[in-house]
Amino acid sequence: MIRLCSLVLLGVALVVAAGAGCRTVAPPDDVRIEAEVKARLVAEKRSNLTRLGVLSTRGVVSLSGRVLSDEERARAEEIAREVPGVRRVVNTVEVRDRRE
Amino acid sequence: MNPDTRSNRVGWRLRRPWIVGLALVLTVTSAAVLLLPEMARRLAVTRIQALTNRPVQIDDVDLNLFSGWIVVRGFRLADRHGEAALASFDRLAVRLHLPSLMRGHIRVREGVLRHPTVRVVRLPGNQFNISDLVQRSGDTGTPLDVTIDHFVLENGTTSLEDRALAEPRTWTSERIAIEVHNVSTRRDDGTAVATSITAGAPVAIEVRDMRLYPIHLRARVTAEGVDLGLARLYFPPEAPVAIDRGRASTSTSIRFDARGGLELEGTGRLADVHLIRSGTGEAVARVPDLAVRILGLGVVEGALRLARLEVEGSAALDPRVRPTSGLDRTSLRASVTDLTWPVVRPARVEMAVSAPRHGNAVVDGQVQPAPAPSDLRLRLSAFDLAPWTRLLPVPAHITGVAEADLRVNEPLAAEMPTRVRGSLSVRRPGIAGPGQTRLTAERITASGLEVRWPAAVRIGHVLVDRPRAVVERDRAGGFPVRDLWTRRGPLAAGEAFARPASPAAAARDKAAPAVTLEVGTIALRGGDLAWRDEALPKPVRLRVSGIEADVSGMAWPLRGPLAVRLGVVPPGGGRLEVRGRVAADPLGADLRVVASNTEVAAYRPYLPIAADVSGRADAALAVTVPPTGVEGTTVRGQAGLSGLDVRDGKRTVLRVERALAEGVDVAWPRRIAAAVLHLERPWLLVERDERGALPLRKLFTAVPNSTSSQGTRASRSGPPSMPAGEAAQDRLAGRPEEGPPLAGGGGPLALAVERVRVAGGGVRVVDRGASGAFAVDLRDLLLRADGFSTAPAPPARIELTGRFARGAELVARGSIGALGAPLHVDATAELKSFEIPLVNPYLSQQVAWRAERGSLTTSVRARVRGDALDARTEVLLSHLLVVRSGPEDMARGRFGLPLGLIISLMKDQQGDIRLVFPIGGRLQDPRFDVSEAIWSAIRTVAIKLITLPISSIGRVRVGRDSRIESIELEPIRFEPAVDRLTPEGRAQLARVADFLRQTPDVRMALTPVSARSDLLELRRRRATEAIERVERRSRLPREVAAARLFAERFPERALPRTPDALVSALAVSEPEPTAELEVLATARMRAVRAALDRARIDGDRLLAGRAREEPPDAGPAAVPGVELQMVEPDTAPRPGILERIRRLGPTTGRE
Repeated sequence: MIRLCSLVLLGVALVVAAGAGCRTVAPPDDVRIEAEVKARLVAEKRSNLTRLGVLSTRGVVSLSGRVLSDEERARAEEIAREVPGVRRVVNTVEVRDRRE
Repeated sequence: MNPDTRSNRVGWRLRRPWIVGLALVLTVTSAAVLLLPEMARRLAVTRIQALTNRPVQIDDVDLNLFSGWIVVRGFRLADRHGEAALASFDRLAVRLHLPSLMRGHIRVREGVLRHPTVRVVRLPGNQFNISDLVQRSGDTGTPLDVTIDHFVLENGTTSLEDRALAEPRTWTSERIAIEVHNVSTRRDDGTAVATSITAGAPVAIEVRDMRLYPIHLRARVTAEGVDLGLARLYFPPEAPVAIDRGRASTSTSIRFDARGGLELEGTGRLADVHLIRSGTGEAVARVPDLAVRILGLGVVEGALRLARLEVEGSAALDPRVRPTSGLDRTSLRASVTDLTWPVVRPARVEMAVSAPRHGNAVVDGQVQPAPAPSDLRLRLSAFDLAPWTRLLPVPAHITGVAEADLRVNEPLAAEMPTRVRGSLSVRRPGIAGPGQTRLTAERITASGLEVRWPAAVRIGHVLVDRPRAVVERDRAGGFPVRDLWTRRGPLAAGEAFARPASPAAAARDKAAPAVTLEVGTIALRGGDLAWRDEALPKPVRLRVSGIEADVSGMAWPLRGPLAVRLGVVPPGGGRLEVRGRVAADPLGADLRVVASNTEVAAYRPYLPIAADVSGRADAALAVTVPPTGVEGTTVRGQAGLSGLDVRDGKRTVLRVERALAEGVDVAWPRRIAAAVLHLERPWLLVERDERGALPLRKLFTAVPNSTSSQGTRASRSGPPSMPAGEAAQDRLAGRPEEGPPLAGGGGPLALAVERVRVAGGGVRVVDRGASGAFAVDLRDLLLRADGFSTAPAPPARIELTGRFARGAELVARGSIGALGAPLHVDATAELKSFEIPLVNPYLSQQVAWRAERGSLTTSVRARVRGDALDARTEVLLSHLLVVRSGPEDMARGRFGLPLGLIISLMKDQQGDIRLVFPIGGRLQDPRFDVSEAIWSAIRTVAIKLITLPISSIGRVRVGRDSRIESIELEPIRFEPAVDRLTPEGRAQLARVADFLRQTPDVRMALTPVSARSDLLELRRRRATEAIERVERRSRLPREVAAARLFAERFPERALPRTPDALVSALAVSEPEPTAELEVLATARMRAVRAALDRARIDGDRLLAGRAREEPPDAGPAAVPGVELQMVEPDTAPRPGILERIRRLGPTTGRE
């Protein structure tokens, strides 16, 4: 019984994965998105966003690191969202004072 | 009637007979008596001339021997040089008591002197016109008894003509009136009253109890409103001040006795006295009121005794002198008690000066002439320094409230006490310039003060509490604080007090010995320094606070090193401690410098780069400056930076969480070395902008920041630096490279670090200049470098590891020779699993292709000696899939083939591409281009890599420019008109299968080719079939049937001789076998596919070409079969799992 359930679950997983694979953004796009987001963060002159970490997984961009203000944090998210191909932005950037 | 009169009458009766006789005689002699006045006049003139050596004139003398009247008229005693009269009077009438004369007693019963004048002249050399008379009067002999019953002097005049002054002046006392009663040498009840107008002031003298000899009198002298301005002429020319005007009044009681001496008591009052500066005449001070009281002044037998002298009053500095109000009510109170001369006991002195809001000064103590010691104490309290600042010869404005307690217990010298001890403090001292305060403090206290004037000044301890200083550099690079101490040009108000202008005073100053100054300790507590720099394009404001300093051993002239301890809070926070010894002459220092948590951002304006820098520094350094100068300075210890952040505007471009240099060893200007340099988590942004520029380079390019610094740099820079390219060539060629600028101008500065350790480093590379954004992160960077040096040394060993995103790793290790020396590099670098799509921006830009997938693993082994590069590169490209990213295929320009096709041809069975190629050349050769060298090497390797496998199934045509012109594949041969492979065809098909297995990404187009042989064979086949039909229908032999058919189709032609020729002739008449040809092509394609399928070649890689027939007029006969042609690989996305499952279903026809 357990083996049967396992096989069923495996089959379901394969089907779901296959279906999802049909809709996912190709990995080269993740590479492009990461590069594009990083380049745009670096090019932002009004904020200090050059060191933020960027990871794109199927178009979902995760931002990490530290900034000095909520405005910079929001600006980083805004920049990432403007990159073509980005479906969603997960903003885990922390706001910390310079002295910290 | 007095007794003398009675005795005369008695004598007269006794001698009457004789008198009668005598009267006769007198009568006889009366005539002679009539001549007596003239005789007396002549005698007097002669006698006075003899006594005075001066011409004497007496107009008339009347003698009345009976009444005793003597009248002298027109007396005039000329001066020696015949000038104006020394003395004169109009009329002197004296009535003598003649009998008294007989007893040797001159008794003036009555006397009147009218219009007497006395003219005294002071000559240069302090001589008087009466000096000779005064000297001669010393021998007075035995005095006669003199009695003056009544004497009146009317309208007298006395003048003093002073020719000793630069401007001769005559003082006159006029309207002199004197009335004397009973003045005698025999009694002491005489009185006298004298009045005069002296220099415009009424003077009255009242004398009582007067006796002429031995002299005794009591007198009261009263003067009102004497003009003190007259005294101005008698001030010494070098005196800084003189009296301009003022009035003096006095009331003095005098008791003078020949035996008891002089006793004097009195009061005086000065009013509205104005003091002016000598020479310029500027007003200095005003004394509204000053009272002087003298008590118990006595002179007995040459010994002076003063019970008490009191002075009390007020004074005020002139408004033009004093900068502030308040000194207009300065009160003065002074007294001298028990003053004796010759000194028999110390006199007590007390003086108090008080000015509301400007302080009090009290001097008291006992004084006595040297060599006996005097004991004086000076106390200053609330003494405002501000009003006195104008007296300084410099523009500095000094403020503060001074308090002092000074003692002198030394013999008083002529000018100054030799030794002064005590303490001195100034509350809220300040030194200000025009419009700005430069230096202030809460309090300065100097204790243990000891002045040995003029030799030495020693201060035991100076405490400066909470000093505040402002140091400014102006736009021109100058320091205005210097101007505070620059001597003013023309004499300023008050300067005469400090610097006497006379030559004598100047000579005295010049001859004065140098004063030595010694200070035991100087302590600064709670100091604060503001630095303002206007010389930079953007003004700088820095503040150093919490200054705590102790300096001991300070002396002037300099004696030895100072012991210094300094602690400050630098700009931005933290702490800086300096301890050690500092010598000024010769310059030297031995210091221990400890800095902790000091912010470096504050010094950003002074960094010669455009980047903003912040971070906190700490250091523990031992600094030694030798007496020979700054050259030879050594610095040892350690220094570090925390949170170093280098920014381009707001953007961080470089950050180091912690940098620590241990074992710092600086020997300036020869060497800067460190044992270990730790860099923790350094991070660098390498960025190329849209225009291809590197902002990082611009950020670290030296920028001029001030006029002065420009000048400094200009002076240091020497000749213009050579272009970077030339410098690089010099370095490659081993030519010596110019080192950093040196203070001493010696050899180049050597830099050396024994060990460099970098942990947790990272680099973000962003290139917006490529086609699309390129950005990669290199993380977890570890660097170990040993033996790094710019001086000749064994090669440094370097080991570097790091990771790129998505698992790529970088490892490099090797050795590098000393920087500045000829290049010496032995290095290997390996990059593993680097995702090739990351470099798509460059691929698109360079070859108009991009990678859909694939990874790069490469290793490079490089060796550089001088300018000779010898490198071997191994490249592994795994599962690389590229697609076109633009219409123009630039790879074709380099290789001659589309990149996709090349890559597919280069891949092995596992889908990998392995390349090994060397790169070499002379780096110094201007024709050498690393990029082109790499491309050339890749092209060579690629052609070889492609040519070899293709040679089994065809051939590669390569042009003169090493580009591939074409790839020609041998067709798969078939028997004519059948789908049966020829032996060659089978062999070729096998080779093709092998080739396709080895190059799994290669696709081929299969094109069936119908040759003429196929056509002929098919037509023959049709003709044969027609013959067979005739044979069956007519039941004739085959040859007959063939002949009948030929005859039917070609009735006019002769029958061919052979059966085969007959069939061939019939075949020509057969219609085009289009359908058969199609069937044949399909069959052959199927045959080929089937064969390849059996060889496990994916049918998707075989594309169907359009069937082609050989034109009738084609050249060499075509080969019947299937032609092969390389086609670009399929770049469509790989099917998903569902598609793959779907494809697992029944196979359908693939044509």
